Amino acid sequence: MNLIVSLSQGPLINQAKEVLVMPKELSRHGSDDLQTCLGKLDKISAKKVLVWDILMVQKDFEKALETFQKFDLFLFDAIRVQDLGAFEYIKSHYPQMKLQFNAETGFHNTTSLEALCESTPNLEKIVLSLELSKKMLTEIVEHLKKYKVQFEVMGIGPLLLFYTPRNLLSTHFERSEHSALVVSGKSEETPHQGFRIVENDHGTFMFHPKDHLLLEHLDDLKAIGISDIRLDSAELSEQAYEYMQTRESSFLEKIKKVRPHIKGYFQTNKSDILFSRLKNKHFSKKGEGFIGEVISSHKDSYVAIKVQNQNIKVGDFVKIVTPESKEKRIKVKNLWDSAGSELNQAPKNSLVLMDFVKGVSKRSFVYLSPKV
Amino acid sequence: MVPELLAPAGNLDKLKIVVAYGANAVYLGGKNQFGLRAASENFSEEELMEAVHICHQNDVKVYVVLNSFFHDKEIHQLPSYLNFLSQIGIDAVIVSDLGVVEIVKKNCDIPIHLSTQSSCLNAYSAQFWKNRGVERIVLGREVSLLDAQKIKKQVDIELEMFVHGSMCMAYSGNCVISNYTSGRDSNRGGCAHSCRFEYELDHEGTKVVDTFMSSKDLFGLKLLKEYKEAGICSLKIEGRMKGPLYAGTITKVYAEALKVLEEKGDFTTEQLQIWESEVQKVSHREYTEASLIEKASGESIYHQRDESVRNYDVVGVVADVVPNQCTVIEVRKKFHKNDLLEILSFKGPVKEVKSSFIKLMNNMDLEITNPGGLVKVPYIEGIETHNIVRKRV
Repeated sequence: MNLIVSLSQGPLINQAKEVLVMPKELSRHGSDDLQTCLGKLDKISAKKVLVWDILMVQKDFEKALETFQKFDLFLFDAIRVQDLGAFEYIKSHYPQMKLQFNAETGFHNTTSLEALCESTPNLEKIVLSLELSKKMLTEIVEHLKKYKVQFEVMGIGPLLLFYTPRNLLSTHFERSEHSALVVSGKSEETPHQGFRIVENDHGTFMFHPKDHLLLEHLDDLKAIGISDIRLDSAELSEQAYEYMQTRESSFLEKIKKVRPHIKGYFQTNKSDILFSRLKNKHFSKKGEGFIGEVISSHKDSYVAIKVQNQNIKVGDFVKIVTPESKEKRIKVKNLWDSAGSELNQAPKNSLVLMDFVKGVSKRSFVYLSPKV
Repeated sequence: MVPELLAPAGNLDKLKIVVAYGANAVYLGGKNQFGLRAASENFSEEELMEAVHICHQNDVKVYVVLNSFFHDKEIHQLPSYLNFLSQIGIDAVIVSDLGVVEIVKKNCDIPIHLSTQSSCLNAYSAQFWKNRGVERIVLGREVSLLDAQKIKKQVDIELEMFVHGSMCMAYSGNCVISNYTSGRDSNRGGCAHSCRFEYELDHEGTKVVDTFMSSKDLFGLKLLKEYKEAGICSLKIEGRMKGPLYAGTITKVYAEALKVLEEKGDFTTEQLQIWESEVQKVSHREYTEASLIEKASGESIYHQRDESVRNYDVVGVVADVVPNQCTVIEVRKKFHKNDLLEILSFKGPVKEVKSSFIKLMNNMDLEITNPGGLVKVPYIEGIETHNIVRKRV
């Protein structure tokens, strides 16, 4: 599999297919300025990819375009972007430049990625999201192979959880100009601790306490059709590369000893499974025959109904479903309005009182029923 | 023309409230996993039909959110739902995912609005989405009014911006804390609001405990004229999960302010003070103008764990009115006989009523109400069903 590393990763750049060049004017985590980066380009024999992955409001976008005036973009073999404004700009102004798109945020289905492939002749590569499971990756890559676009995932590295343009740390700690401030964070939500939080000129970034590691699944990734593996770990990429070359588990063991790692959602993504518990199911079952909702019940005296969907009249058979899902079936004998006047029927959007029904409480639902 | 006022509708009751209090459009979600508020009550298909009926009768538009980041399994469920939405005549869908944009275009003619979840921040990004068939863009909350004006000038497309409410601290769509700490996909409706938690920050041994990722609430009332001048066509109030007092009060204030802006071209300091005082009465975090004028700074961080600024409680909602006899209140919070209640009328000043009597519906006298019941209090003219009843804390 092809190795992708950043320029800062020393000896590995000689082994890589692509080297990511990250000037700090354009890249979230770049440490060198543009001129320094340009000065290092001739040392790279691999493909040189400019990383322009900051998200930009209009003002920042204009500033980035000023940076583009300072050098020849074709010193690079490709450019990698995440902001769709940057994507559109390169697509329309540099149609000859190979474009790589970081699709880690919001491109988690085949249709969206296919739309990008369809409309972008110079799209060379898609960096796929770490939220995609093996099954999802397989389906996506299989479907998109007709476009001859390459696919990359991160094999090892920090897992970005949060990105804001606001400076959240320098209100508490001093940050020297244009440098990065790094702190460790511990959430009140135990046991989450050890978040690495970084503030730099582009904002504040929070990373998962554990790094992401997919190296054990290299064969799976290859079988899926993912050609490129990125090693993003500042301290462990070399061991990771050794593992990739030798497949000796001792390298993997060393990696795991140095830092804790997770596989994230590679095996399965069930991050929507808890959603049903966020709702009270009672309130999602109004359905056919729904008349309205009980908004008050006073023992031995009355039940008050907010009539919502259809009229209720004396003589109707109704089913009342309590919030605990117990059912009561009764015949409506009397109806009154708020002034105490007797009614034969109550229209939609009115308030009506009927005789007390034991066991029926506020938030019960009232339905028309064929018979008691 | 002043921008439309777009209010949140977490359920049918709240929809009726914001419509009554002056919204020009509402946004709401279905009972599915297509929106970003899985915990909200949301709308069944039956309720959606009723919502469209109520709104269109009142010349109010209905926008349905389909703004989660879809996986393939949800994409496949979308066409039949779009067919339903198309049949009931909704006015637009709010979408954040390019895949969803494609599916909407293929299956119906419903106009597409791009959700703020897509973090569209600049003119080229707006052009990208316009090229894909999007008719309106809800700009990212990081965009200033000046930047918005530039985007509008460069790309001829409808622009919508948030004007009031809670704010994500992250670029929208760029926070997955919940995914990895709570097992809930924040970009598919499961956000656990981890940015509101307290964190202990440790920098080389110096420790600080703070809600350092929590944003103050957006408050754009003073800048309505600037929104208009920037060419913004719609102003969005955040808060499908918020209660009726919030929904009603904020909608009323902004609706009144926009009306004055339309008729007079500006509003007076006195009017602004009255509206500000009303807005202060609902539960909120401290307010900020965030990045509307200048990039949000440290001042925009809310250093408290809870929403603690609350001067008023909602004690109930008017459930019925019997002219010259009584007002029936559905009680949410207890109040006492002889308390001074304020009733937030749909238009015009707040009405006060002293609860000189409190009776149950069977006319039994009460000294104090219990939450969850219905009570009668004295009638005063001008009160209408769904008016919010509040009491100073």
